[in-house]
Amino acid sequence: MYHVFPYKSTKLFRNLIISSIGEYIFCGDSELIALRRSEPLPGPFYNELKTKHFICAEGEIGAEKMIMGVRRQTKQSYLESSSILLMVVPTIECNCDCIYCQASSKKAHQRSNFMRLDTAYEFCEFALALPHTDIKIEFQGGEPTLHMPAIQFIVKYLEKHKHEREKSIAYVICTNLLEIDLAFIRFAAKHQIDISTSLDGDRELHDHNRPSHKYLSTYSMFQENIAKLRSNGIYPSALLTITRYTMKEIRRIIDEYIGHGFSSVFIRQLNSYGYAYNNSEIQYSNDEFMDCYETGLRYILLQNLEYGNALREELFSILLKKIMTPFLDGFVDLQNPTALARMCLLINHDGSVYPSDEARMMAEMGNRNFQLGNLSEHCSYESMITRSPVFSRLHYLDEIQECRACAYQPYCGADPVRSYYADEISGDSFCGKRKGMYNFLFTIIEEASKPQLRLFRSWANE
Amino acid sequence: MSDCLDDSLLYLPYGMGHICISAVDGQVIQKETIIPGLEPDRIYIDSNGSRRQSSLLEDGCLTIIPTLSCNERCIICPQCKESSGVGALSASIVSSIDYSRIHQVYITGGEPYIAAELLSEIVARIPNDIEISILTNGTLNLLESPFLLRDRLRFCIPLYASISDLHNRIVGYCGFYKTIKNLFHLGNNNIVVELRNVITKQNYTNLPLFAHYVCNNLPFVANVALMGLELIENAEKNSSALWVDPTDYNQYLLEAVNMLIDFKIPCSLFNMPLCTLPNELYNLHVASISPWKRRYLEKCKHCNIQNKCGGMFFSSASAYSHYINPH
Ligand code: SF4
Ligand code: SF4
Ligand code: SF4
Ligand code: SF4
Repeated sequence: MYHVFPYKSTKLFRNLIISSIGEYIFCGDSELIALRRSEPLPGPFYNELKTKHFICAEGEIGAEKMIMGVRRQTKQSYLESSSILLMVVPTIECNCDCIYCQASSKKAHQRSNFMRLDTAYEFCEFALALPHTDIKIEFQGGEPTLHMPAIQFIVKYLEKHKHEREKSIAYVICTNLLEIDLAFIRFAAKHQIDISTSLDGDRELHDHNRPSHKYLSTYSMFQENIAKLRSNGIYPSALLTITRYTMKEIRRIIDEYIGHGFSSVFIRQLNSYGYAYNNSEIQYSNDEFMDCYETGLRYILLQNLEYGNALREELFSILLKKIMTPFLDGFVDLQNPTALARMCLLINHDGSVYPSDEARMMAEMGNRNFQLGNLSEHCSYESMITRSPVFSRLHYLDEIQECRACAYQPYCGADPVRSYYADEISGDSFCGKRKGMYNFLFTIIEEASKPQLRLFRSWANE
Repeated sequence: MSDCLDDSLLYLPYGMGHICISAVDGQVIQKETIIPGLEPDRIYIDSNGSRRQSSLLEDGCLTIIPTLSCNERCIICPQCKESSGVGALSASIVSSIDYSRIHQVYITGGEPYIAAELLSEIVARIPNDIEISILTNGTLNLLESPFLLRDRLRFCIPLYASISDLHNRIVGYCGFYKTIKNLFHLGNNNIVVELRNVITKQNYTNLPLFAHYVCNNLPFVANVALMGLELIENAEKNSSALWVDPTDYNQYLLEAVNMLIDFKIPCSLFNMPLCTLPNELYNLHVASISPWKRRYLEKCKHCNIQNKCGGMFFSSASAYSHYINPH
């Protein structure tokens, strides 16, 4: 007879069983019943179960536990504090007025919206004192390029001191590309800074979603400046935010990405809280988003496999990496126990430190429980974590009622901020679109042709 | 290695000629001597007066066999078990070799770790700029070797299946989890590992799951070598249980290789005639069979890709003959 390790099952077209380390198998009813009853199994099913660590012989339990321990440790290596993402907000002001954004641009221009240079200095020292060795700094906004002095200070200071502190540091600037000049390009090239930008569609769609009080057409500026960057050897990645206005045009938008020669696109759902939430002209339901996402993804597959246009969807790739590979995917939102505050921090322009963007919004709404501290206190990362009422301990999906029985747990992520928001403020489910996303993911894998499966595997290993 | 070394003499390249050594105890019998008829780059074995050229040194590769004994009993073992009792090669032979014409050393067996101390001694005597590959079944304690941190060290370890039942049946021993544990340790210590699998009737349908297992549990391996069967010794005795036609295994092979490639794990195919492979796999074919074991068929004469093809083992040629299809 054989020993069975814990697994959970769900039903799509066929049964899907998922083990605690995230191996999965599709199987028929009779096979699942035999497994549940520990009855003899058909040969191929037995072989697959054993290869994927669902079962073993009694004498092999110890060895299998060792192997699964290593697998789990690899997936949870973020708990060892090796790498971290620091989102830094140099300013909350913006030169753009995207219809889904609450940034700042809506607020009056004032100096207090900008990070002071002594705060930038405090940030650098804080970063260099982190226990993590691999640091990624992502400048966000507002529009970070409106405050280049802070960015330049931080990059130059860290570049100068990173060796003595034994850190490896990478930088990303998230920018709308409206005000890119040659000095900026030289700076980015010199320090090998990645650029991430936004493209919401063709001229009509993009200008509709992303108007600016300073520019007649933000699409024109995008076109002009992306060309400038590329001619200087910088190839930005791009984020696609879906609004109610553009969601029916997903194919047209993807054509636009292919036309611009992007190798990837991140299809982003609108934030479910804050400003965009109550705006019914731009907002949509989770189901509506999933429809749009599915249409988009199937269209991308078609473009790859029928027309030879290599475009990769980033969120899908991350999820594929989660389920198809033994590696840590680095997606902070979806780790269990939560990776917030362990694998990422957000540092606001005023020096306040949060585990996530949502925690910052929560603080703006008056709940400071999730704030970790402020750089001006000159307090180390470790002591911020220890004294945090929420993040001094690890948070698990099992603590969330609706997740307890869910088969997708091994791929999903705990998030105390989000679950507080769901329970106490919005009354929505914690899960949101996640379950629908996993259902879609596994459905498309289950029905994948061999070339599709190969494409998925190569995305997973990107 | 199937040579039985009982009272044999070894002639190893040395200086301008050879050095003659007793294969049993490593005693030097004749130092640097030029013997008519011996090519300077070759190693010769003289067994009971009949002198044979051995494959031991080929294109700058030297093979050393510390012992022929083994703790496994593989159904595909290419070596004569009767010779297992042969005295171990002495380490002094290894230091008497002239390494100036050698760039790579293979240490194989038997299971070299049966003679762990001798193995360490041998490795210690090989100059540091020479790459050493150790072919071991990975079931014994690899971790206490003093030479583990040496540069230019590579382990070649067989794994025949994704599940213990099948692997253990093939090796005639409860080796699967021992080998896996050792692989984990080697991976943890960033030591270069090549996995080897031989395709037989026993395991060919397991190839896709084998690839899945490697990609998910052993993604650190530097290379996966998938090999055709050499029908000698044990493999020949068991040939009806082992031989599988290329047309039967090809789709499984393709599926496994594609998965390894998608996971960016390098993969190479040994000991399979080029024309028996699916086209997509031609570039992974390695012409690896030693010239003295290599055969081509009559119809290969008209083949346009013979220069890229490694041919087949003389022992397997007749089994392949139906599937050989000159291009
Ligand atoms: S560019 Fe960014 S920060 Fe500015 S309005 Fe648009 S979304 Fe908001
Ligand atoms: S969030 Fe949704 S998908 Fe994730 S574990 Fe909870 S119920 Fe499952
Ligand atoms: S491991 Fe197997 S093939 Fe190698 S020597 Fe031992 S029995 Fe023979
Ligand atoms: S016909 Fe002969 S030489 Fe040509 S590929 Fe086949 S085995 Fe090799």
